[in-house]
Amino acid sequence: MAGIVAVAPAEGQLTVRPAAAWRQLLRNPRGAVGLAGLVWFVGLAIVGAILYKNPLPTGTTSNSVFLPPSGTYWLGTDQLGRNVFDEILLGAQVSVIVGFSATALATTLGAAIGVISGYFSGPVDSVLMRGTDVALALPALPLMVVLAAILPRGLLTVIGVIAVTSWPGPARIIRAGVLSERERTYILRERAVGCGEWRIVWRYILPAVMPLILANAALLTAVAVLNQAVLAFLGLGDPTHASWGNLLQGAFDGGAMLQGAWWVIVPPGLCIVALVLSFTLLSNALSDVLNPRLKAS
Amino acid sequence: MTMTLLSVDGLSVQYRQGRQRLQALDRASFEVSEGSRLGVLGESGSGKSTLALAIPGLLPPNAEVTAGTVMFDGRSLTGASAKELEQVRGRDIGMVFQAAMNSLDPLRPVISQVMEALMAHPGVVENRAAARKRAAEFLRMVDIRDQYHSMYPHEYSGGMRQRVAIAMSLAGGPRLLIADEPVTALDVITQFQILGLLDRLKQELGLALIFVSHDLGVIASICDEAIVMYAGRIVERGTVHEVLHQPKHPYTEMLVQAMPRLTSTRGEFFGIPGSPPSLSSLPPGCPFHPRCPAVLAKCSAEEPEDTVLGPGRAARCHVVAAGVRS
Amino acid sequence: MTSVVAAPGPIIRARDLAVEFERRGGRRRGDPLRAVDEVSLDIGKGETLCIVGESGSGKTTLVRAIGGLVPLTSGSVQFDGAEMVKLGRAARRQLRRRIQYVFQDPYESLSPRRNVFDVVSEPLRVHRLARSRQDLEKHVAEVLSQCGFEPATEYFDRYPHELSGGQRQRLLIAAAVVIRPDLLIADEPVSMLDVSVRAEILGVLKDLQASYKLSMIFVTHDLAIAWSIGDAIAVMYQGLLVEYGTAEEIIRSPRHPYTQALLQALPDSEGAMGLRELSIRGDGLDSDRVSSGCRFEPRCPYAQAICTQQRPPNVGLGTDHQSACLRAEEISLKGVSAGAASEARGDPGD
Repeated sequence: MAGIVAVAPAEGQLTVRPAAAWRQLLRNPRGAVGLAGLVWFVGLAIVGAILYKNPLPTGTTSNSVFLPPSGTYWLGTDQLGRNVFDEILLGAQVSVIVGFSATALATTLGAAIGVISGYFSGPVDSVLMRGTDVALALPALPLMVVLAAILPRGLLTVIGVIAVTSWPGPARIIRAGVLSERERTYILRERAVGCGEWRIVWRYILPAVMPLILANAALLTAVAVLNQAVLAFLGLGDPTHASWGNLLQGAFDGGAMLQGAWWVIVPPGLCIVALVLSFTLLSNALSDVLNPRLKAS
Repeated sequence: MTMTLLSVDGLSVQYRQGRQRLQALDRASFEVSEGSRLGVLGESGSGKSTLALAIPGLLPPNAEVTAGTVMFDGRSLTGASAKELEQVRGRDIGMVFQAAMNSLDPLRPVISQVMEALMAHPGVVENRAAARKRAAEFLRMVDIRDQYHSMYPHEYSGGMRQRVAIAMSLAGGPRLLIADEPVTALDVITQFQILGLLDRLKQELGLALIFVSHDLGVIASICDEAIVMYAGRIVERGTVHEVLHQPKHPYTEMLVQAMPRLTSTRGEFFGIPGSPPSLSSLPPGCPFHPRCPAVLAKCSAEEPEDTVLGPGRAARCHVVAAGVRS
Repeated sequence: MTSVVAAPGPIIRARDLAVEFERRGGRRRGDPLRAVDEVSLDIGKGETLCIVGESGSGKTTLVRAIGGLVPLTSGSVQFDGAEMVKLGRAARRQLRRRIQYVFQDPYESLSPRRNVFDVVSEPLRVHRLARSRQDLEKHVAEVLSQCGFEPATEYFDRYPHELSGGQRQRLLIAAAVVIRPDLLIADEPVSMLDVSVRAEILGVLKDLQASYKLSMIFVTHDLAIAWSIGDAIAVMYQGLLVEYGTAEEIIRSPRHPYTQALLQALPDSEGAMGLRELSIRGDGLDSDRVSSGCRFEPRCPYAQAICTQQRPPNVGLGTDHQSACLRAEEISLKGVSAGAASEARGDPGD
């Protein structure tokens, strides 16, 4: 579920104009679908945040547990009598927030390491890369589980734990992108003009690898959403915030399977899959759009 | 009386790029006789490479022959099926492209690649042993000594690899060789050697040659006739001597002058203002008119037709046409 | 920290300049590649020196070493009297102001994300040479017009992909001269451009040289271009300087067999390949570098015993016509004379 998230750099890929790239993305079927999914779920999260507050009201009688879908409860109730539909909407926030934040953190860290390592080479590169190798070698899921178990429960822990296990992949990929960009003639020329190394990194290298970073980030987000669901499902997430993973966890612990209460399991599962798929498709499309664009016609 | 080997008549090719259709070749007509050598001179966007690919039917999928015919030895190539074209290629028409020297298989010794080229054409050699013998002969013919035959391409110099590419293109015994910028990437000394080789091949094998290049000097040193291309059109044709020393089309004249020569005055540079037009935005009328010093009012309105100035001699220019009539 | 004061004498004085690279893999791993092998050169102020050679001759590495982009393995380079290797960081920064480059590939030398204004103003900003945005715009517009962009301000927002190859190269030249360097190093600036466009670039370079009093090093593999633009020509072969002289001397009366071969190999408008002679031997296979004697010997048709035994003389010290050929005095070599080809040419365009 974690591990190497890879969108590899291609030869001469990084020559794109933003406006043209957007249009390309929308025309790409996967891009369109992925973007639509993203917008849909973010919308869902916003609606959920406006309409509901944590924690949701539980059922009042034992009869309200595991009620099947009906007019009152569109997706039935869960093991505590809570309205599943409400929970889905409310839980969307967590997936979206954790997805974006963990990714932002991991990508920033990974990009920083990748760029510095790739551009400056030498001992700095060796040290940073060995560290990255070690981090890569650690199995992500067990590490996440261990860390989440030790640290205090909460959203911040979840975000942190996911970020910590996701940054090595981007670091390697971005470093590769920087290595190839660094050799290009226009970089040599800027050096000849008198540009300092850090200025070159900030003004030229970073914008050049940005498309790569973005494509990678989309994929990373998909994984982050999945990881959050896993952690929540294992009971290591944040119990105070409704999330799809929590839903699943509650459902299993509460015996939904035995009772045949598919409405507690299928909807959150589908949502997770759909959101992950959206990000994956988006990442694929971004990769397609940005990679073969050698010279704009 | 030498017979006509290749006859191109009114050949037009369009490329599909997104929603645009680019006219890469516009009504190209010329002939190549048995054993003669035609130079195709042009700069970027002139259509010279399109022409080189169109003749043996090697255009990419997004290109289309929209008009005209290509006849080789009396048979039509433009109407031919893929299978027929496959037989023509290599056996009747050989091809050498610019990066040919980089397209050798790095994992196999050179001689075995020449052998494979020979065995690819049914009937050229009877068995493997015969192929090996013929391959060695071919390599010797392109001045590669026996002791190098079993080496790998990366052990060869660029010039030697290009010579191997030429040898392989001759494997099927073609009567016409199409070479697109075969010496461009090579240093001037190697270039001289390869041109000398091509010259000898004509003498020894009676090989006809279509030599595409942007370098007028190179074309002049090896070709008998030349056509000058600009924006997909053939703007002038004639013998190399006529084109070089008595150019009729203003573009040709300026191009000839732009060639830096050791005999020109130092410090004097001649060029053509502006740049070759992109095919997606061709000017109306004659595509050269925005850069032409002799431009007439007519030139921006109407595209000129060929003005015939003699056998095998023509120019597509209103100024030339006016001069002939007066 | 030595300050760089304008001293009389050459703008560049290189002595025994050598650049070695580690070989990676292959047969000769561990044996470093001497891309530039003890080259000495003087370049006078306001002069144009053409460095001529084939690929692999070391000419690109040489000029990058002269300009400080590549470190020297040994030897020295003095810029306007100051020893470059001894300069501290700040002085090196200063140096970047006074030596500028134009590279070969007008497509690869520009970032696709920066427009014309950015590209030309960057050197001004890096060296803090403009006081305000208006100042910046003024300088940029001025140099763009000098490079043939009229009206200059209309080009500010254009991106490289909207420009032709020739325009891009002129843009690169503008960016190089906007900070008024003393020395401009142009590495094959027209090789990737169409022939009809080259003249414009060469013309711009010459004009700028006159207006800004630039010294210029022009690297090319084309002797005809070297002839038309250079005051002096230095011929390189496998990392060595084999001949040096004025353009007239090199072209009309070469004194090294390699130079003669280069001249003979130039395409001759008169055709008839079969009749032409090229005085050079060899199959073109990379020969192992010889350790003693003349490096050109394996390919030289004039070679004799002495050529494998004795070291060739040093070229590049002084301004007279020098040759690294041990037999230069004995052999008679042919150059290209002014009248020869022009007689055979008819009158153009009648």
